[in-house]
Amino acid sequence: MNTTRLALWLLTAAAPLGAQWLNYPTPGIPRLPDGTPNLSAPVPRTADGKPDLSGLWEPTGSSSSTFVGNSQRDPKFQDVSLEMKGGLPLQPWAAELVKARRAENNKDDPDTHCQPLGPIKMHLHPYPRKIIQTPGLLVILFERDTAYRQIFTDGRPLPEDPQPSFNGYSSGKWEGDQLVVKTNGIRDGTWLDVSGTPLTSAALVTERFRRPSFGRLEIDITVDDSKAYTKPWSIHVNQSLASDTELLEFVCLENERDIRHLVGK
Amino acid sequence: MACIRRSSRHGLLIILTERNAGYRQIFTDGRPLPEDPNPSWNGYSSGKWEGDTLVVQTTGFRDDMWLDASGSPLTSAAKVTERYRRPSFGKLQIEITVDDSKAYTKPWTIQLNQPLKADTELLDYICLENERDFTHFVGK
Repeated sequence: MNTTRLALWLLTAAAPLGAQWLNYPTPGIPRLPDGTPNLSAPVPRTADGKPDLSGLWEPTGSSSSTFVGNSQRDPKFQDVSLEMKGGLPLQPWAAELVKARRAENNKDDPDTHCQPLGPIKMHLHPYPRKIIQTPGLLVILFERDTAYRQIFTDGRPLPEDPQPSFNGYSSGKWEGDQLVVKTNGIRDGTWLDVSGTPLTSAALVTERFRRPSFGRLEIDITVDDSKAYTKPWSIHVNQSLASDTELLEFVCLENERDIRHLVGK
Repeated sequence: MACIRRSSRHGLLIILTERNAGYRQIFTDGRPLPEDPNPSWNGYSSGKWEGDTLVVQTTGFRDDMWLDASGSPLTSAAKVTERYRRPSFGKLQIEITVDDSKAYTKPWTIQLNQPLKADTELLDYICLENERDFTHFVGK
């Protein structure tokens, strides 16, 4: 779909401003005198003084490409352990599982089968996502398969016996300027990246969201999953604000022709 | 269905739907509808308040849509107007007018009533999860 987004961008680049929503100016963004978004402006805050995480975000990466939806932006989408010294502390069975998944060319990656990806892989996904922060609830809208995730911020406890689900059950609270989100109830069989890094239903995931400036979002993710790992581990995710553009509809299963061609060994 | 209304600063209303964990955005920041929209399942929606009624206009649907299980069509020529009213805490009314001259000889309107669901939450419903139906569908 990167080509679709590029093609649309090329098409709309010539259209009058305001005629196409992909180029519609994002309301509420501080701007420099020449109209450019001032992404180093201070973080916006809600009425209660907390940072407002709301905005359209995409992974920050080394890619030189400037349009959203570039799959090379965060290499951890390919492998969460890329920047990890010594690699992941996998339990023996989990190491075997990763080996088996890779030996099959990762053909069972839920992403390629249009299944939901779960919260961690969605943070790394190249397509944009929109955070909407409301009192008591933070919602993330994902372009990828037009899916959403809810993070409750009304103080509710995590369920003791959650119904296993792709996204799990998330509850967050503010610690200073950080939103600390705990998630449990993620189903077994989850892939954290394209390489097949596993997550099980035993996992407790902690995300720490920070917005140090208007244009920057940082998420520290800690995975505590004693079934798959010998100790907890963490990764750090950087995202940049995508201004003056919008989410597109990306429906993974629309005119899907790939699945039947996926082969393993 | 769950509706969340944003503050006027954000100018956005979103609808989260349990069915396939999908969402729809309705902009309420005064933006115009696109003149040449990219056809999509949800179209492009922009709404404004008229008194206590939120009036939402939508264009940019794809062709070949089904409006119901009986196969009532909708085409890319359609302009859909929804009027949202909440006459009491527990009641939502949506009046929908379909103006689609490609498929219909004149505009028509339906009325939906939706009660508030209290003390529960949306679940994950993923249509494609363990899907076993498609291969059994037959026509005549």
